Amino acid sequence: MPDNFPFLTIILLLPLAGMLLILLLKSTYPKAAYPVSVVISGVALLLTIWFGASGRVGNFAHIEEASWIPSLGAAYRLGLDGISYPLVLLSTILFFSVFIFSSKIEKEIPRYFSLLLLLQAACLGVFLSLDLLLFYVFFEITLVGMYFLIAGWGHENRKKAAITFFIYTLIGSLVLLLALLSLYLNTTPHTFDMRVLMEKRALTGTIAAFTFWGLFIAFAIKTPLFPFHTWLPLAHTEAPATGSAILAGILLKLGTYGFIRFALQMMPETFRQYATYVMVIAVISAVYGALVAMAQTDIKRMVAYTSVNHMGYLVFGVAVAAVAPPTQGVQALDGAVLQMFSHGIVTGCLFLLIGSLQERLTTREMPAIQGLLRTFPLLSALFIIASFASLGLPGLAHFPAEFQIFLGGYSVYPVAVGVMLIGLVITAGLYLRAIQMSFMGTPDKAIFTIQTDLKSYEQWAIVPLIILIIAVGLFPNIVLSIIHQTTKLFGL
Amino acid sequence: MQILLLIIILAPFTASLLTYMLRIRNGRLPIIAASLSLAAALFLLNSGGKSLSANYFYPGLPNQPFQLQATNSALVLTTVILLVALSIFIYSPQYMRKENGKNWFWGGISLFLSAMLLLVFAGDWVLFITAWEIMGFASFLLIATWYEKPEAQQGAVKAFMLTRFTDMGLYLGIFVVILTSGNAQVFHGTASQISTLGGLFFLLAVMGKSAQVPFQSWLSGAMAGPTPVSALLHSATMVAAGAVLLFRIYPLLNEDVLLVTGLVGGTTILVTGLTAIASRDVKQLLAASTSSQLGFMLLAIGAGSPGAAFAHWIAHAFMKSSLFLGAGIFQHEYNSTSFQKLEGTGKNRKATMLAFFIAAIALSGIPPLFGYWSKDGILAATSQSSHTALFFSVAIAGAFLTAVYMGKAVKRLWQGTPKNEEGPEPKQMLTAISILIAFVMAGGFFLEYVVTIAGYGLPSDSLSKVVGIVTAIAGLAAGWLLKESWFTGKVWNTVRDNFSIAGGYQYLVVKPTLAFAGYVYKVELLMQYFIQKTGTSFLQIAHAAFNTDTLLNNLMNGMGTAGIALSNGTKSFEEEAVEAGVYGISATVKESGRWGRKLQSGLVHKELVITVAGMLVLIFLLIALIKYA
Repeated sequence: MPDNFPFLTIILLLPLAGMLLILLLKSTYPKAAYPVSVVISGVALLLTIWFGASGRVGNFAHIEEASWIPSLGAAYRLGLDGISYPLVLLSTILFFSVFIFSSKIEKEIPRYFSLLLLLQAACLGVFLSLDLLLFYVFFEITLVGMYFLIAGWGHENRKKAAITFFIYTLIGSLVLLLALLSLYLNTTPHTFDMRVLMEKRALTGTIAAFTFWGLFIAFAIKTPLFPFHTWLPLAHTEAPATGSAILAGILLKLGTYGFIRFALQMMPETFRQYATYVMVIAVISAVYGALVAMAQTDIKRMVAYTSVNHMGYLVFGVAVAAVAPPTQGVQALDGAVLQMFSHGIVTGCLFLLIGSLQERLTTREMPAIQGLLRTFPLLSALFIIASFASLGLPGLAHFPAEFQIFLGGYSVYPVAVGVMLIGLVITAGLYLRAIQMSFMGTPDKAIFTIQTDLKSYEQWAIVPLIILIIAVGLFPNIVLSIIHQTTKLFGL
Repeated sequence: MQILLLIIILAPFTASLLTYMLRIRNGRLPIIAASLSLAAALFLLNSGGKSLSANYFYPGLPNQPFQLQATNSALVLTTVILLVALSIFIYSPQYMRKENGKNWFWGGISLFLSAMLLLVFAGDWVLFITAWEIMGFASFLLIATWYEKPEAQQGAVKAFMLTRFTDMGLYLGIFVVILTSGNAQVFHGTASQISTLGGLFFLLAVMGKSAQVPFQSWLSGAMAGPTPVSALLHSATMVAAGAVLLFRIYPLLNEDVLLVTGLVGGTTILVTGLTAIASRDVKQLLAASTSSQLGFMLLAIGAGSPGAAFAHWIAHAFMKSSLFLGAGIFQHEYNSTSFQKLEGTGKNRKATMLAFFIAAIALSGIPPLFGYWSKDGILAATSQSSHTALFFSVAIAGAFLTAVYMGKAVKRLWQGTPKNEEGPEPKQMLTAISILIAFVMAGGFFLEYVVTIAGYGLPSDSLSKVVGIVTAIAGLAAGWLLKESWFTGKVWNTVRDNFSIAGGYQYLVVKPTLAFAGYVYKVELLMQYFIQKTGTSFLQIAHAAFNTDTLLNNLMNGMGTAGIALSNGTKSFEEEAVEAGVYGISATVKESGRWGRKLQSGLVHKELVITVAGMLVLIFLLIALIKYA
């Protein structure tokens, strides 16, 4: 294929085309939504893998551009580098799994799948965009998509979750809008081109400080960091399994991606100035998230809170990248970017497994559940692997990421690294406690609704993720080599 | 050569994967895989002579490739590990015949073995820690083989948690090494010493894995797993990995760290030696003995002689695995491991008893058995160290305690009348033990040669030899003569219970952590409540604002109509463009007013959509304003 072939536009438009197709077939073939979504997302995944494997990623080596609002300097600009490519790959992988997993959806099939496809397009759009305005539009669409997914296919307490979600996202979006406008206005000539903004880094003084903290709050809500995280467990408790997988797996990365792309790349000087504060918040998030997760009895809420912990490590890595000497800074940043990918596949996998559990049990309360290993050996084995990945066991996906974050961080914040390692131990404790409580022991038949192990569609959705978790753990270079292409240029 | 190196590690790993995936319930595959690995290891060792016979790289972290290195010392360790593991594998089918969890057991134990082999060959610290922790994971699985039993669950969780905690020392130590040397390689040409703090970090990891005081208690919990697991875990893997870490970092440690290492080892020798003597259960006795023997290795390292520690590592692997496998046969007889039930069992299992006896006196240091040579090496090393008085006396005391508890174990298994009839000895299990016992009996004569191949020296002197033999005989006699009734009362109960002060791990660590987590969660709930309240009031405000908005809309509507009227009236005075503009705006306002009323449903999600849409409009307006102002 020629080099100017619009790969990225096709990847972005595929889900939208799928959505249109589903809406067209809505009345005649409502059941066609499932195969259409699986095929469409499968093609998007293959195209993404091929794009990366053919060595086209580089540093925005391949750009697709078209004029949009020339008078404002806003344009349709798509491009990938080592930071955004892993996220696009993650999105296509996870959506593919989620679509396969959705085989048994019964409520409003066409609407469900078209909403998910819209969400996929929006997620891809956020990571592909190289234009502030385009980025913001996609960013907002993800909120709407997620919101309807929770509201339409969620569990009992939707309204409570909705209010919290609403408040937070409202504030976050508003602040983000102002910060983005400030970036636009304070660069001469005014531009929405993110590459130019990353190059010029024009903001200084008080305006820079305000813009930085604006970005920080917007992304801290999205990520989420303590104390902006309280929407997360609520949303997860109410969201359907697939919604949770997408929310934790991909939507949280919108925030961390923002930290790297905007805060770190567009205003590194300001970031360096305030890195200590960011670092402290990240460390608190890591330890706090682990402790609150430990206090949970609902298995889904427990996993939800571990995200706060993992995102704490991640943002810590970004803060280290802002202050550390180049070698260590790049190490930490490599780790942080890989952590986004790893957390996506591991937590996505965990939420799908919990979805499978929820279909088989009458409750999610761990003290009431016993003997899962005996009843569902495959499901339990996969859950154990995914939990050990989540607690950072070497040889599985989180370790190479966290190891590099801590390694880079040790040179500048040794005490903070020590504190966060305690978080690592607590996470180990909470997963082991869950395994001991619910997976071991003798089964209590009263809580089971079905007693069959994972069905084939569940296996097709989950097993590839598990294989990927092990592959990234043993051969981290398959993802890191692409990441490092970009991060090594951080002269900062 | 590289391919052989890969076979050594990948054969058991593949066996593990296949066993798990195909749900195989017998041990044929793991046994074949371990034999294959052993053949490859022997071939590499034989073809060597050079210090490094194979070296394999593959890209890992940026600028830090993962590497495997088959040094002679690694190959010697590998051969020992595989000999011991293979014997245990041969023993296991008969042991597991009556038990549950065969698939779980075989998959786990193969994974465990491949992790240990990976650890021995790891040429960089990232791969080293990977192997180290996968081994911890595998041991968790293996201890939990009978996961329906609460002791097995608790033992597994405790083993993983305690070692996971101390492993943070390994993380930190590795950070220090990488920062000091600039790369992650384990073997440096010229080693530069790391800071005392860095050395202590590593020591913490060693203490956890090798069950040194105060982390010795996980080993006794680990006894809840099948006995072959204990045999492997206590001899050539897991606890032995701690000592392997010490061999690797020895060149990086300074005098202070070495002194602390020696002190930790010395304390453990004495403390766990006493626990072993007070033990009422043969597996618990052997578990305490493992900590104590690993303590000898730490002591030797502290005395500056990795060679002596290396020698004892090899000897201990054979002796301890024989002892455990013997205990496993007795255990099957009575379905118990407590001395009270096992009393006199040796009399109707004479061949097993003989094997147990040989291994026991070997561990005590009776010549010419294996343990005599290695213990002599340690005694000699301590007598030549810079802290002779302290280290040597601890070593002698430790040797005495070793002989005492081994004497006691032999006596309790032999004396008394057996409760069962004499039956046929389990042949397959006994064959496996015989292989190990052959090494226990003959290994000592080759020990110095093997240690030299590995690149170390084995210290020895005649005084230590004499003192060692006398101590061993005295200890065995004392062990035979001592009475169980001496070890009653509160103090001895605490000793037996691994000195668990104030309720131990459960009360000191688990409960406070859970309580603290619960407290933090209260804070979290408070925050959520606050946000909820804010949210609700915000919505109320929004509602009020919406009403105001409608009012405003009506007002605007009116204004718009007035505007149209006005523009109509002043048509002649205005330019057409202005007129069109005003008309357009007022019409839009009117339209939006109507639209706003339609959407005024109070539903949250509609408000969200409106907000988002509104924000998008806002962005354009703001930009337009700025652009054209």
